[in-house]
Amino acid sequence: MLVERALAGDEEGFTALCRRYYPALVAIAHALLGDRHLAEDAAQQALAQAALKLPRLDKTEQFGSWVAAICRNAARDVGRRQRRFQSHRDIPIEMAESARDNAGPAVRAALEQLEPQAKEVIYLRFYDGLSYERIGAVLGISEQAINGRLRRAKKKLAQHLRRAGFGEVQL
Amino acid sequence: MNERKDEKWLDEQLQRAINTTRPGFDADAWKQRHPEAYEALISRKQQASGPGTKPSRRVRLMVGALAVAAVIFIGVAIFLMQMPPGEPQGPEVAIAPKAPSAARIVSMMSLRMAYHQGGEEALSQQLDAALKKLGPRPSKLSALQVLSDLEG
Repeated sequence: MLVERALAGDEEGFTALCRRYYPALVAIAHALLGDRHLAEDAAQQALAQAALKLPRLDKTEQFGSWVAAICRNAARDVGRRQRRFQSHRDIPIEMAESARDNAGPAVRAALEQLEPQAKEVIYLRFYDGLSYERIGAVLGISEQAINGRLRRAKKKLAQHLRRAGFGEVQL
Repeated sequence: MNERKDEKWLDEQLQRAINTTRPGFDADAWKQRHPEAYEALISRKQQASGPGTKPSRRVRLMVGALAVAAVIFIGVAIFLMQMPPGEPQGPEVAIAPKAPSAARIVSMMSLRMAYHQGGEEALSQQLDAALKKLGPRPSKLSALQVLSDLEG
């Protein structure tokens, strides 16, 4: 197992572990910070802390949710340092957006209205299509629970979009 | 705005809003930015395989017990090999001559002196006094037997 290899100081094992969880960690940090570059900084800091604290991890099978918790704290620290944590809605977001689609800003505004937990699961699901397995590993919940969380988050988004004048979204 | 808005539409909007190029972990850049974490990771491998690795307490105890058992076994084996065949198994016990007690020596001297000075009567009196100290006098033992014993 990769976690055991990393615990034994195997550099390749740790690198493989990082490659596996890095996209999910960036997604989690991005949901909190609203900035891709800051999110990558936070994810790398989280992995650095994980490398230092790994011997303290009792249950190696919980590595995903453990490193995700470290990443949330790292993202909050990055946000505090950058003084953008509270005002990240104002910073430019370098997301891919079709010029012909005017729903983009409204959808992003609706995302900002979500509770952190709901926003996080949306980011994880739509961040380059992370698998349910990978999402479950970092959130420490079952696929059924992920589905339930996603559905509730989408309903909230639909409500915000309706209020923004986008009409009813049939879910 | 007139298009049908369903879950598929919302998913497409979220995909566009959130989806970015998949972040890839750059191990070399990470090592350069977090050298302390990288060193900590590598040091664990050195600890695990280094020559200075200490065995666990249990292993050390087992090795110690085995060493003691081996020394005892070798000692017994050498002892048995040095014994000539046919001799009784076991060390000879040297029997030392039993020394008479100080009270017995003093009593015998006093009896001899009493006989030379006062004859049988004095010997009998001294004998009674000595036996009071040494223990009960056997009824069958006469003064002459004690005297012959004293004379050797």
